[in-house]
Amino acid sequence: MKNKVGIVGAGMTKFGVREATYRELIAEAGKACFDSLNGAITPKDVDGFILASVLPERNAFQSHVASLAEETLGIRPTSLSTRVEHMCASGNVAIRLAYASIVAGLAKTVMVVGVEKLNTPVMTETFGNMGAGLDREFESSLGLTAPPVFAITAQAHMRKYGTTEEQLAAISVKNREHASKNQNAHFRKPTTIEEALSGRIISSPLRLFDCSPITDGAAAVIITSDERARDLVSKPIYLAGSGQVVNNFTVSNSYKDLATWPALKLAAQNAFHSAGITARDVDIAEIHDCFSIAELMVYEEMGFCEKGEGGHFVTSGRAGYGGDVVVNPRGGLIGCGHPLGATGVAQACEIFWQLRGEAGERQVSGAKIGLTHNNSGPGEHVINIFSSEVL
Amino acid sequence: MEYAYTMDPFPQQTKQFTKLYTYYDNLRNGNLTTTKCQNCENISYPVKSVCPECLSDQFEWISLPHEGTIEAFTIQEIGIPAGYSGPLIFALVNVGPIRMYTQIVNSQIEDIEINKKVTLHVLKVPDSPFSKDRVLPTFQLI
Repeated sequence: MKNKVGIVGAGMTKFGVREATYRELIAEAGKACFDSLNGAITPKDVDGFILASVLPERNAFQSHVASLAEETLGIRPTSLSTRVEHMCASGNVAIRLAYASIVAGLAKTVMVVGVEKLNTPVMTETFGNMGAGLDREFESSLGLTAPPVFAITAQAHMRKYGTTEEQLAAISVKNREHASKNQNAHFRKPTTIEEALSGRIISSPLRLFDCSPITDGAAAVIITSDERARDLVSKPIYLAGSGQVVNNFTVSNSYKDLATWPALKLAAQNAFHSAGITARDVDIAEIHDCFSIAELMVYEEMGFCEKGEGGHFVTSGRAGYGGDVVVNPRGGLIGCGHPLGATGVAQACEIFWQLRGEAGERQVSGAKIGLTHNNSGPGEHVINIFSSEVL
Repeated sequence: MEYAYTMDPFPQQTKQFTKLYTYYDNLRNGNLTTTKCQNCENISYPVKSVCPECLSDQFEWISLPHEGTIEAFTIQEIGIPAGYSGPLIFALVNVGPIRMYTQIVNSQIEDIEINKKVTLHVLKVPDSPFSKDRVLPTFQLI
């Protein structure tokens, strides 16, 4: 695909339990994104708009949300206006579609906003609403939500490869450490292996610190053609490659071997191929650690390490600053929280700042190539690859 | 409180709501069934009104064994949704030609192990004003 599209602006809200409505979160992230452009692009210059959002009907009693967001931000699209809902992967899917619409000539300048308002005073309702992202009739009707879905991946990986709770805890400790340097993170307090290992069981073998929290937040990026991007800003970040694979929806029809995620492996291969790079070329990876085990699966299936070696990969420091690839420099979903539709867009914001050298305390020295990854369960993966220079 | 249809966590199980109501009728009678395509013989779970392999809409109901084997499991203690009470035992159970991610009930948590045999337990869940005697398929240790 070769760098036909660039990100020119990025902004986000603080993630957390926010005293703000769904619409106010959109306004806050949208303003931050436009402010980052210092007038180079205003709402009137945006002709296409995509909103990534999963649960507004249930958690905010609101549909028709792309138009709500546009009116909130003073945008009157003339080429494209839509919402993307793909459960936890909505943000990266929205960016992939913004790319496609620009390359196809449908739109010139597209704003992508991701937003979710998940916290309500009745959290058991929110937990139930999260079950709407699984098979409501045949699996969620038994009370199934995300933690037990990823718990059996962890159980299978521990049995097949000897992965330990300590190794999973090392992922949480790393991401909480990264998040401590991120003013937008839900959690700023680091943790220790000992504290993580004594956390309450959420869904065995996953403990409290293995799990991303229920979080509110929004994030926004503006994407345009590479030529226009270079005219508008001094340091655009290019979208260099992308891949997406869906294998299964229900847990019942998941992989025969639960300790492997072939759809992730294929999505990564497709994304690397489209960018003309390999896993070894990636400097930073903002990946979908909805649960610690999901990050460990990424190390292996993306090819950062050999299959079965994910636990050792993190404990030997190869996934942190100074390692082979800095995984989740912003703190991941475990540190930043996971406001579903906002997560993939916030990952793109982090890559934008990192590749421009604007990430402050979190800056990964010399980062040139970064990727973002979301899953919507073990069977569904989307990856976008970004570069600071034309590849 | 007035019944809130979109907050009901359980499916409506009658002919008014689903073409595949036979699945629930059979389960209510203690028989776990699923759909088998009459064209390509593909067996699906969850039940399907159109075969995802050949797109035929001609299917028959086949009975599944009442015994299954635990392939994987987890005990969920925190984050239980409205309408349920924890801890919940979820297990991926191999049942004849299919597998299902379901609950293990009426069993001691410490006795749950991979490869253990389980048997069907038809779980009764609350009525809705539109669907009485609602049931869901769960399993229990033998």
